Amino acid sequence: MPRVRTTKTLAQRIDLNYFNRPIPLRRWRFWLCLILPVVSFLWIGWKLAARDFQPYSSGRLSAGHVLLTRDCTTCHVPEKNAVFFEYASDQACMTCHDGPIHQEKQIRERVPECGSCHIEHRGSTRLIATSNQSCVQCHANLETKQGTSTTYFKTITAFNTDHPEMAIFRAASPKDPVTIKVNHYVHMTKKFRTPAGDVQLQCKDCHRQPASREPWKYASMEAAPVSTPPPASGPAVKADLYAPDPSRALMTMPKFAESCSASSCHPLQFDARLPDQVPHDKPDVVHAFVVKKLEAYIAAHPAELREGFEEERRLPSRPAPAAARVLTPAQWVSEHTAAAEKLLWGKTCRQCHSITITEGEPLPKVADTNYTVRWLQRARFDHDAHRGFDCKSCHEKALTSQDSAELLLPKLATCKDCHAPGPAHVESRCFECHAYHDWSKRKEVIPTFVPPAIRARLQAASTTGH
Amino acid sequence: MRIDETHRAWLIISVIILAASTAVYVLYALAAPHGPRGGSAIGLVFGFTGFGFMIYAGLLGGRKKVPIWRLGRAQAWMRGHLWLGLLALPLILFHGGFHFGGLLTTILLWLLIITVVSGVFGAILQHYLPRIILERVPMETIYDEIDRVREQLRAEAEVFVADLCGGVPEPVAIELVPEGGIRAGGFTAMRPRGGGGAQYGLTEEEAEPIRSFYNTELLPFLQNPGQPGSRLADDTRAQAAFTKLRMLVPPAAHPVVANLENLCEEERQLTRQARLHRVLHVWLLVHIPLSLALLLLSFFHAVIALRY
Repeated sequence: MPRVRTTKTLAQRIDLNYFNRPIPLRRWRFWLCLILPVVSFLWIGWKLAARDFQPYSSGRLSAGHVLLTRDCTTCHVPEKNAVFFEYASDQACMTCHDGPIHQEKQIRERVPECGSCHIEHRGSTRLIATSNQSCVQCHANLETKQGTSTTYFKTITAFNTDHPEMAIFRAASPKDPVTIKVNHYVHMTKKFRTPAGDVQLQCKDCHRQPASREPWKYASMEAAPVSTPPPASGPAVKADLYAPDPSRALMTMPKFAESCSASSCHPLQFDARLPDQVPHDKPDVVHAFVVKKLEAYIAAHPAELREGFEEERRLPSRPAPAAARVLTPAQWVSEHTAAAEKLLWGKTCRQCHSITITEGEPLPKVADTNYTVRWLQRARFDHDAHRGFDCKSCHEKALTSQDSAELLLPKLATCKDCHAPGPAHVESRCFECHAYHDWSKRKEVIPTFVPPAIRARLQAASTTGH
Repeated sequence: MRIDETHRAWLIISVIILAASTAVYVLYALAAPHGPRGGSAIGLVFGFTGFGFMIYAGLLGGRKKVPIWRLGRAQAWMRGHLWLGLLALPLILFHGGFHFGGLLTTILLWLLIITVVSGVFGAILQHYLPRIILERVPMETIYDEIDRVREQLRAEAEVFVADLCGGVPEPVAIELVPEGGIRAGGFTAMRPRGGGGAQYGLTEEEAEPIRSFYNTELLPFLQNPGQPGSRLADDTRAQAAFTKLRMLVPPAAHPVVANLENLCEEERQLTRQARLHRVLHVWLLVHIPLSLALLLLSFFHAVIALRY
């Protein structure tokens, strides 16, 4: 009899209560549905009870705030009259930081909150790395309070599109205002003749960062008894030239004593009788030095007060003087000082400096060097960040320039070659060169924050009475 | 649920929502000074919408618990579950600006990804596997009853062999219906089956191949169909085995051999059905518990994020 499968025979095989029996798959599902939410709830509850808010953080804090990782309430403080919200307000930021205004004439309603530019909880990024949009929201169409035209560029949206050229190049005839006469071409020639022989100078042999401790290659300090006088008495701008700048961002003015005089190329000797060189200083200091040295010399060599006449040195057109004359020490010093200063003001100093000799004035006037340490007044540039690059790759005319007034600064197009959007380029956002806050208006904040670890230690100490 | 033309409206609505959300997100991401953030107004809209979709998708489980309530058709709920649940992922990604954020948000995003991916995997299975089961398991039974049907197949086989051979050496005692159980078919189902072996007129010697086959191959296979090495577990090899058995027994016994072959075929199909059923439903072990945890933690995240 063949096996028959009818609906009836199939139905007969089914237990009508089968759905009441536990099925492994369904049982597993039930327990997992119970366990997972309960575990989640317990985890959240445990963290809340332990006051550990780290899991709720929307991301890792920036490097500067990493100490606050477990101390959320430092920044997240309750709003006034708010019972629920605890945002990180500007007030919380100002507890530790000052955020000077951007511009006196800035429209107050448009001053953004700290957190709108400095985005936290994005990992160990730099908070200063703000987006272009933060700046562009005003600078794309710069407006003034009164609606009048602004002295600044009205539309700037990005460095690589519509950023204006540097101010110095926007002048009718851009020139370096420096008064020091330096011929770069001569100094950078392949066989530059020096007392030590022919050399090939490098840029860094004269232009150095203040923090550089490398010895001068062609300078011998023994051969340079003079030293650059301390700038304390000079004008403030001059003091800045020599002030050590640990940031290594800017180049300082080449130091005459170390790079020009010490190499014996430009000695400041003033009298053949004396090995001394005048100090590289103001005319009155130089004058006093010369007088002092000559007085000392004549005191030590009184025989030289009697000057003999050397017939062979007399010019034919001049009358023959008396065979010999005897001078007083004062006369001798006066005459020889005049001769020495004639050499100094007329040749030695004038080779580099712009010197004005006025009739009736005992001493000449030396023009201020007008050396520009910082060219970008509204932006920052860091030479140290570019230390790996060949100088002439940016300063193209540095090897050929023969005129000190020629501007050797690279134009913005040179910067844009590297600073551009895209993976093959480096940072080109506004913050790379510009600062939003005017730090000259910085106010010192009275610090009240105690790092969490130290706070815990202090609390423990106060509890134990030690 | 098969994803057929009845899903067209949901598909169109979902595509429109996704396209609109993507457009809004792209514009927002380009305009936002520091990129998209969950705490911004648009970020919050994305977040709440995504969370709303997740809640709706999660309510399907509740809807199934109350099938008689007039809360709309279960199929409509299922379609909404599929499409809105799927939309929740891009909306939440837009909400977070494709950042995983901190620990809780990272856990949440991974839970959502796993839940949605497992749901999509399940939807694909639900779309294709029922047809495969229909084609490859024509003798399908209720999954929960497979073990019981197997016992019945063993009893049936024993009856067939006993009828032919006049009894088997080791009779199998099987309780077909548990105590207090109810079986479809009523009293008819309780009627004893089988009868004496005299009707086939086989000698002991003629019946021996079947008895031997039953004891050495058929019964072990029916008792443990998953055991490796049994040739009855394979269609082709089983067919060859039964062809050989037919050659060893008189033609009078061939109907019984055919019945035994049919039993083996049903057993193989039950094995196949069990395997396919597990594939069809095991993803729910991931999908449902994780979605519950996701909803719970998402609620906490919403409260905490709004506060801070």
